[in-house]
Amino acid sequence: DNKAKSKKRDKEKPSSGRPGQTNSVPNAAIQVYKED
Amino acid sequence: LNSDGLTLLSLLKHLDRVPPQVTSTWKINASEATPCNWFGITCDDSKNVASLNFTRSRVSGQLGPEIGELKSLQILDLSTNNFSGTIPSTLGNCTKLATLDLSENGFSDKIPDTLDSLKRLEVLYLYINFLTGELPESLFRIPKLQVLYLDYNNLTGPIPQSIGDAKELVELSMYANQFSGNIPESIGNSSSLQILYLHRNKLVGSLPESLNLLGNLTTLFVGNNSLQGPVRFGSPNCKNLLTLDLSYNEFEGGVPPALGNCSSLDALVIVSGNLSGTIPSSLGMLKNLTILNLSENRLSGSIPAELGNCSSLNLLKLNDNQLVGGIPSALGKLRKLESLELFENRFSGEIPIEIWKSQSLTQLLVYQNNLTGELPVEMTEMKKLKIATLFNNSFYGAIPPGLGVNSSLEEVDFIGNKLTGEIPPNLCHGRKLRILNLGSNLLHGTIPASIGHCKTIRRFILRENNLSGLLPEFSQDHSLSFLDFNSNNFEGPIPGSLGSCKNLSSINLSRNRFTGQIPPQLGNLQNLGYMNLSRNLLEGSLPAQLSNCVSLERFDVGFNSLNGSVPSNFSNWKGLTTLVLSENRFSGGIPQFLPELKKLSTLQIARNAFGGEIPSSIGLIEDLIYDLDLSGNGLTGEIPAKLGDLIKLTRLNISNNNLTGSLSVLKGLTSLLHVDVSNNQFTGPIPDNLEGQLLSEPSSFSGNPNLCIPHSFSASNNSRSALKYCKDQSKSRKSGLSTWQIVLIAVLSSLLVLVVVLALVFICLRRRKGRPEKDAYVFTQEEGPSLLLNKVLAATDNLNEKYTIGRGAHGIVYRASLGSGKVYAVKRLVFASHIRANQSMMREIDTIGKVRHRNLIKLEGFWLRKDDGLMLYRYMPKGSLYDVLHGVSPKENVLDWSARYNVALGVAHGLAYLHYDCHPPIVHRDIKPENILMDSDLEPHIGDFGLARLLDDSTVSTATVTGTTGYIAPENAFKTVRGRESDVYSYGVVLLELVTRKRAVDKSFPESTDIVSWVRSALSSSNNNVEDMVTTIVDPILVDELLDSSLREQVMQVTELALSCTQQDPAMRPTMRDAVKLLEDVKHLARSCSSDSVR
Repeated sequence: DNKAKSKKRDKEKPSSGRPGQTNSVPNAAIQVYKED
Repeated sequence: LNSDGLTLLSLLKHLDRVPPQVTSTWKINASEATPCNWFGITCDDSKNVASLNFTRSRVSGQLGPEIGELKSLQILDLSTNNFSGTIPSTLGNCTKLATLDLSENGFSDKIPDTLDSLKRLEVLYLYINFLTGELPESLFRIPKLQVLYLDYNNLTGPIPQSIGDAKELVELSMYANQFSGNIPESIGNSSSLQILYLHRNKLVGSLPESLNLLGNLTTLFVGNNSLQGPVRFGSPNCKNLLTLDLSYNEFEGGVPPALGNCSSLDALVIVSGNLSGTIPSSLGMLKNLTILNLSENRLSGSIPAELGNCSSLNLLKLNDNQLVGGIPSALGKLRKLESLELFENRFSGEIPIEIWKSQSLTQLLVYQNNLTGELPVEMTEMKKLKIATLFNNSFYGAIPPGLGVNSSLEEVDFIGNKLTGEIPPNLCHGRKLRILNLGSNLLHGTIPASIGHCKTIRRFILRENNLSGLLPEFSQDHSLSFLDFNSNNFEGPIPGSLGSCKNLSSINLSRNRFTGQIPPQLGNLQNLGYMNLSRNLLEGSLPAQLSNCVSLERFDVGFNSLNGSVPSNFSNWKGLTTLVLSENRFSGGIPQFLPELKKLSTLQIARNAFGGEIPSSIGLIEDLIYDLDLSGNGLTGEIPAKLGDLIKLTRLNISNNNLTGSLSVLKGLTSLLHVDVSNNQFTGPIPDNLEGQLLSEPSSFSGNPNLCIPHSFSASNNSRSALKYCKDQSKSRKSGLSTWQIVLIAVLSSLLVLVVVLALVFICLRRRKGRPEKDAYVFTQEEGPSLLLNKVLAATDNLNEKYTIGRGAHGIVYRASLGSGKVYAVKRLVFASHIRANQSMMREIDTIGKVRHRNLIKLEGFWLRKDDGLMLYRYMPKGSLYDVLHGVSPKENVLDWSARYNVALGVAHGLAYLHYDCHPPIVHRDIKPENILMDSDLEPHIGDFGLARLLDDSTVSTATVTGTTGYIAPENAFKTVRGRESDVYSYGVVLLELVTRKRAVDKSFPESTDIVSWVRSALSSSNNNVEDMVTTIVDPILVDELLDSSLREQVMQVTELALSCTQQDPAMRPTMRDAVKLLEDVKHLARSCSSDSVR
């Protein structure tokens, strides 16, 4: 059987874009203390 | 043997490696006239070769031009091997070919333009190769071609106009190349097309309208190009379209309403396409749509309620737009909707109750909007809900107490709302909760004990609420990594069980009412980088165990009632940048170890009971940039002169102490923006550089009765200061000594100095004469040196020849096995008679002895005597990089690419450390593979560092050129003075050796050529194409690995770095820090490429 053979390749997946995140506020920089 | 058989044997000669089945069958055999039984061959009825199939057979070599002689060949499948070289144009002679599969090889150069003579060819796979150049027009004139895959090559130029001639073409894949220019309108004539992949290229212009003519199209991907203009797509012809991805382009205008015609559409994805306007309500007609992703555009208006008719919708992703209005209740009709991602828009109003009633939603991501309303009790019935990120909205009322009972929540983030009530106890009921962020709300009550036992939580933020009570105990092997409970009303002790959360990297418990002592168990937290316990009611002393928190960068315990002294072992905190101890009751002297914290940029120890003088060593903390606050202690004495070295310091507060003397030291602090020296006993004039400070904050100088303002300061500006002007110096000079008195004093002083010097010289000469010649090694290590030396001498039979393992320019290296697995390399340095092991040399060794880095060989000990010295290093079982790369039997030690990359990175780290983290910096001056030693894990350790300099400094032969031929930077060929750039050059040479496995001066190079000029000439032969060049110079052992495009990219980047390091002009070379950064970036790139890869 020497007919043309095409093979199955995985289909491309569409773009997913930016994933959701949780709040990522970093640690506050330690303050330069003034007198309270 | 027939002619096809002979042709195959000719082809075999072009192959470097074939499977054993080929070796055993592909040969002349008296009993066989045809090759029909040979491995990989099938014949037609005429006994001619009809099929050659070598797929996945580990064949390497080239495809010879003789292939064109196989006139009956119908199938040629060489896929997934290591073929390299060009695709022979003679393939055009195999006119019966129906399938040609050369995919997943290393074929390079252009696609031959002879393939249009393959009148029967239906399937052509060339994907995943190194093909370059433009596509020949002839390619699309193969009359019966149905399938053409060209993806993952480096093809350039335009898509040929002839694409419209490919009337039979069903599948066309051209993605992940570098095609440029417009997509030709003629593509609309390629009427059989079903799958069209054009994404990840450099295409420009607009999307051709003729695409609308392709009525058979099911799949269209044109993302990641630079397409512009309006999207004119969607016609009644698009009924077969299933997937449309136009993402990452620069379109104009909006989403075309005509897309509503594409009734079979399953996925409509236009992420970051620069789209504006509103979402067309016609999309509501797409009943088969499962994915609608229009995120990261500029869409405005509201969500059309018609989207509620897309009954198959699984993902609705509209985040990062400018959408407004309410979320339509019609979305509640979407029974299959699993993910609703509307974050970062301007939605307002309440989330409709119909959505809260969803039984399909697993993700509800609506953060960063203007949403309001209460979280209804129905939320507790969302059985599939895993991720609820609602932060930064205006939700109010209590969190439903039953939340978590019916679902396995994984991420709950409600930060920045107006939620009240208590923390629901069952949030972790499903034992999957990873993130619990409830900070910046109005919550009260205590933390439920069940949450403390929730071992899965990694990120736990409750900051800025009104929570109170005791903290729960934390379970053993808790996953907690980030904990921020600051600004609440928590009380009682800080639980010691926090110390069992080994992954903790950040703790912020500041601004609460915690009492008791800091638990010593926190010392178990070796990953902790941030600890803020400030503004509580903590007592007792700082536990010495905290010194084990070796990753600490910021430590703040200010505003408590802590006492005692600061444990000296906090010197372990080598990465500490911020140390705040202010407003406590600490006492004793200012810690002496502070200069060991080389990265310290903020030091605040104000308002404690520290006494004594300011240690001059504080001036050694070069990175002290932001703040030095020593105010409100009992410090005495003068400001040490060394403090004047803190030239980067911007804020200095030494007020409210008992300091004396002048402020002249502060003249050098040119970066100061704020200074406060008030309430001390300083005398004399305020330095010129502080005039501005006096003007803006005169109180910063008050309370120093004998401080004065120089006359040079502008009088009108100093009216607010209570300080007096300094006495006129010219007047004081008049009342001082007369000229003859000054001359007399000068003459007498000079005579006195001369007498003292002569006396000292006399004493030295006498001592020298009388001193016996010492022959014992001078011990230079503090602990147990003689014992170790004796062991070393015993283990080497007093440095007997038979223990020799190497000889260098400066001495012999011995192997000393001390038993119990301790093996050392002992280097004996013989000093020439004119070299003295003097004090300065010992200091030099001492400097190098303190160098500590995982990629520098550690000096374990050393002993000196008059004419020689011994240096003791850890023994490196794999020898040097030279041995591994070029040694007698390198095959036993073959380094794969990742090991070589690791060496490149390790050496870069080591050199960057020597150049930038040592004071003074150390220039190695002899970087080469022989000096890079490999431990058993193939981790590199730079050896002999600084030795060349050490020896040179004490020699008189300063004209000697140090280093090794092939590694010496051009500018140093006749010089001895070396900067960091010369190490960078040598490092570049080492990189080239890693890539090529050639020596710096290799026999295989043309005469008087070194590796640098050899590689540069390869680059110019490849028309400056690094990828082409790399394939010609790379170590053949790596060829297999380079089939992986991510690794190939990594090798290219490393080669480019090597070329950059070996530039002629030293100023053009990168620094070793640049090199580290680039290599780290490449590591990251390779990782992300691997994850994207189709392989």
